[in-house]
Amino acid sequence: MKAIARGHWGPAGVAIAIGLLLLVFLVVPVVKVVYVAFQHPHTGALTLINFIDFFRTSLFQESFFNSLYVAIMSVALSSAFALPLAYFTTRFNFAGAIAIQTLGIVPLIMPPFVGAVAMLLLFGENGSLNLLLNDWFGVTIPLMRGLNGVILVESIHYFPFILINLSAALNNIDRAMEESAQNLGASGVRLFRRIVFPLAMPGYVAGASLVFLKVFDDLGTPLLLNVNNMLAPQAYLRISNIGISDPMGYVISVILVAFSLLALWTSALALRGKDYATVQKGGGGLAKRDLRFWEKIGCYAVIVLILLLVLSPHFGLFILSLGTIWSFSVLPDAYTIDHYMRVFSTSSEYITNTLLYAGLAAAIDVVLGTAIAYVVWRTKLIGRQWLDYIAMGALAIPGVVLGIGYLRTFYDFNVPIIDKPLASWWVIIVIALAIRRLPYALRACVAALQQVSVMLEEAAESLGASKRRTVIRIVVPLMSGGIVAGFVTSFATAAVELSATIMLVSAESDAPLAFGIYQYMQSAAGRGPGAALGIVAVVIVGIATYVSHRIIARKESERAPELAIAVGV
Amino acid sequence: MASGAGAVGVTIEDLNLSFGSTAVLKGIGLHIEPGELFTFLGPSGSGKSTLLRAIAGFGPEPDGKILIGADDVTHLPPWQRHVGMVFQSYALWPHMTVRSNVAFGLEERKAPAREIGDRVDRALDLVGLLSYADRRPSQLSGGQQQRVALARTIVVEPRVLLLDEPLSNLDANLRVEMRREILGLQRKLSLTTIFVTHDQEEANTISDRIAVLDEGVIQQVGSPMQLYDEPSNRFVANFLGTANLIDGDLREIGGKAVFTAADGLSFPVEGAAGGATRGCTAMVRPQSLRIAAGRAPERGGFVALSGNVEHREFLGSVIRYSVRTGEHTLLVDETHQAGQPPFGVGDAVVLGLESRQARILIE
Ligand SMILES: Nc1ncnc2c1ncn2[C@@H]1O[C@H](COP(=O)(O)OP(=O)(O)O)[C@@H](O)[C@H]1O
Ligand SMILES: [Mg+2]
Repeated sequence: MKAIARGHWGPAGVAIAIGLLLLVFLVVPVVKVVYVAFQHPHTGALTLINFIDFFRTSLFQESFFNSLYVAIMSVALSSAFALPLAYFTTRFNFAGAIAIQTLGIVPLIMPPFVGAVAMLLLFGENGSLNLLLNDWFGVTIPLMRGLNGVILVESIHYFPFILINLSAALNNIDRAMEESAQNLGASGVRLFRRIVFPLAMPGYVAGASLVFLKVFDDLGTPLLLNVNNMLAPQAYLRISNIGISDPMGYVISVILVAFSLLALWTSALALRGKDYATVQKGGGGLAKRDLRFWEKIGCYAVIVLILLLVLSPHFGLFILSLGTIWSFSVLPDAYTIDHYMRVFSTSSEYITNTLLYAGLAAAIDVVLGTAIAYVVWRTKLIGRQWLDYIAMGALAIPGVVLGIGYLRTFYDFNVPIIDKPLASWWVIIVIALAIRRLPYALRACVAALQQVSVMLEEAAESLGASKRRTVIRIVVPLMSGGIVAGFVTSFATAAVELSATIMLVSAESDAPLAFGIYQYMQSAAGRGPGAALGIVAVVIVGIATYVSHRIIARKESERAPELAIAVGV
Repeated sequence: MASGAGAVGVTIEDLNLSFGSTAVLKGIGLHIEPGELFTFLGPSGSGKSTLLRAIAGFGPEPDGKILIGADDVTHLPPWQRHVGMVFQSYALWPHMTVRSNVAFGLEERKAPAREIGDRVDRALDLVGLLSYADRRPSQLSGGQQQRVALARTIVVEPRVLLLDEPLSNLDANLRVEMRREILGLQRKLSLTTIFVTHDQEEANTISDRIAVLDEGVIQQVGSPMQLYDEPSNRFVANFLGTANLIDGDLREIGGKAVFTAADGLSFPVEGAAGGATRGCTAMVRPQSLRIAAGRAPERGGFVALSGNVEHREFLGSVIRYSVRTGEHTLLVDETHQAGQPPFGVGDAVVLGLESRQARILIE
């Protein structure tokens, strides 16, 4: 009896502790933001006046429509990149398919704002491409003018979300679905439009709504491209210029959250009851078609063009980090490693801060993720699902909103000993990063836990191990591959987070990499070092990602016999 | 619907096909008569689906020729072949209703809307699913999905109907029912039909003729009874039913053909082609052997072999004995009657063989 009681109280205590943590650092700040948005600035009464003011102000109207326009156009442009790539790689035989699928990690290892300035130098008014075009044909293309620039930069970074989801959906379609349509006379574009695309629709919508959400909420890219008439930059500028009592920042936050929820809801709706994945029940396998010569040329042309475009921010950033002066010229005048020297001698704090913050945040995430996964999937606690829902809810909260919420909620809370408001202590940045990246780590942990057979736990318990000992000695070691994956995803994405960070950095010495890049990129002279810092960020994230792949691959091979046993029992 | 007069045949000439470097079909030659129900029968992996798909235009491009009627379709894409294929998994499109599934082929052929409506109704009526027209495929049972797949294919009046293991996803009772239904439909429409299965009972009950495939090679073509009674090699003999296969030589003794096995077992055979042949096989079906106690004298055209019962299996309608005679173990089936005591293991028995029931396989 005693053992049973202990077995129940342990998880319950953990669940309550996590619940409180999520309440204080996620629910309360967001509710506070929403509440303030509906509060009269002077009387404090509940009112819609702030929203009326918002839509009466032409700048805000414009920002609202600009954000909507940019998000929709980014989805359209991303789709134009992703659709052919997904279709070609899943339906035809040709080399390079793996290279294209690897693009999937691009949005993870480098957020759009890092490459934004480089894109300006390559494709801007006086960028390399337009200088060449002007020389040769006397024309220029306003690729980076105003909103166009934001759309282009965001699409190039986020289209892999559509590519990956769509490719998975296309691969899951029973080939007979298409063959039966061909057998009945359909081919080419009609086949794609009537059969293939509708069947892959849930995957497409899942990817597209993610792109919409990311772009709609993004703060760094418009800021760096100096496009301020959009929602997220307006929220940031209002709070940082006017102060945290200005209601407009809160109104914008509510709108951002509402649209994020809308995007997530749309994708949930698209996926519900439409599990079209049709497992092959016989007949020929995945018969990819060989391309004819001219088709092959055409495919390669499209793919090379898209790849060039996708990799251009990386190339541009690299050149920028090594160039002396790059202005009104196709390439920099000369090359140097001075920028790197400068970054390492004067700004190494950015790097150590980033490693510290992202490392801590990721550690918190996997501890919380493992605990939540265990509580939700392995206990019968009442209301346990809510831990999962609330933690995942962080996906719908833009960084700006969380930042504003923290400022508002924790400004009056003085941390003892250091005697400073919690909102301006560096630890708050770690907490913000941990909360924002928790959904990634949680999903990885849940996936890992679902692969651990309950029987393995029961075997340990029947041999006398308590619940706690079983978790420590059996469950966590078996989950370690997934936990590492969760850690690295959280770490890599936290290392380059800007939107919550930018609101919470209160002293230069507390600032992480992303903030440093943003600071440098503000001035023409800082672009070189900024780019060098960007490359450092890419390298850190790249190494982390690579290491995790290696660890996971090793773990998988270690786990194989255990899995076989678990299945065989 | 298609009428018998318009039925066309299918001719396959020296067809070879490989996936990469693996040859999967080797030297296939066939002629399927107009209006015939023809079956590809073979074990899993023998190339049945690959051959069927090659006729429909799927898979790697083969060497050789495929003719439908008089048209060479070898190099046509699937959508220009006008053959109807029913897939093993049915492949009903889950995002469309039953009606839109069935209408699809007619729409692709740009038929007028009124005509599409009429023909879809008639096709659904034919398979008894008119009242289910507005459902989604996921709301139908396996058998109903199968019928929709059939309706979707025949509504466009294909020149040939191709069915790839159409019954394999149904439970046993439904399988028998659908088998009859498909046969009925095929006869009604006089539609040249190719049916793929690995189940010899299914093939026997439904087919006009069968081609037996193994390892991408056609082993034999014939009516079900021909294949059972006169298999041309050991593979066919085994695949269509249980067979006793005895290796030996064929000799000519006094103008008569006599089969002799290594251990001296020998019996005269009737109707064996050609004179003496070394290295051939005698095939005897278990039910062609009689089993009795003691010793029976040799009679004309009837061979007696004595041996001992090694093993006994009760199969219901028959009892199957394994009887050791010399170096051979022969299977013998005896019809079972209630109250009749079976032979026990170790009993001395005599097997009687009517010599015209033995068939000599020369490979
Ligand atoms: N897409 C494919 N790629 C490579 N080999 C294949 C493919 N499809 C079938 N095969 C091979 O061709 C042979 C015949 O397959 P199949 O025609 O499906 O056999 P059956 O339908 O008689 O079971 C098998 O050995 C199978 O492994
Ligand atoms: Mg098959």
